[in-house]
Amino acid sequence: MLALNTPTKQILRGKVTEKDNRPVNLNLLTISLPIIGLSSILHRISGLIVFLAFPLIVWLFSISLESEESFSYLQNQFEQLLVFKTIIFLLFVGFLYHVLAGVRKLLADAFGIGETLYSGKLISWVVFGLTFLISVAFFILIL
Amino acid sequence: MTVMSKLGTGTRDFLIVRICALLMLLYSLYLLGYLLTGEINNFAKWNSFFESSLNKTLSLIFFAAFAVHTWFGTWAIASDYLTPKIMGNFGSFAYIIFRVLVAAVIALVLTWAILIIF
Repeated sequence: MLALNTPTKQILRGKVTEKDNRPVNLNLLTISLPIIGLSSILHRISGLIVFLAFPLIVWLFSISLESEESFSYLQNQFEQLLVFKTIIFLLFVGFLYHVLAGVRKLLADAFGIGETLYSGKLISWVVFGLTFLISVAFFILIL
Repeated sequence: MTVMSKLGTGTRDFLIVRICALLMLLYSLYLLGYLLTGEINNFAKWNSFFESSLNKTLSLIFFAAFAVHTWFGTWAIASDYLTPKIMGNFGSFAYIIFRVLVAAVIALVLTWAILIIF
């Protein structure tokens, strides 16, 4: 009967009423993130940024389909305004990373790929590497 | 649908987010394929893509999937960080403000996209 009175058993039976005083650290900035964690939080951040920028993308989409003149106006602005090109490039990188990290999650959900520590780390690096390589290719394309 | 009704809401949301992600991925690859194979340097070619009723439908599916995917995706973020536990008294208020902002962005994108496509 003594064993039943350990704190764990009391918690399991819902009998502990005093406050749990163990330290809790939820400040993410004080935790050194492992690569898999970094990959995961960047998936969220990139998704949120691309989402918030979507009205801008739809706006550009509307200008591009308005008329022949507006289409070439957009083309000229893209070539002349460095800010425009930079924003498009950054949004491309964000979208690309979100898609690749998303595919990685789909692979894990559907086929259980990348669920061990080793393969999870490896696939995180693959996602970062592919994002970098395709971004460089896109950078050269729009240069 | 009978299968869906037997699942918990968490599993249902999980599946909806992934199915919408897959739909957007397929559309993106389809559009990318079109951009890479045809020289899209003039208005006529770009415009002709969105003239076809098949592409109109697919584009509409993309934006519908975008709306659903981002609604659940931003919920996942907000319900993790915009909480009283993390933000104190401001948490619940921040959560509501954020959700309203997200709904406004989705409504704007969806209506605008439909107006452009049709």
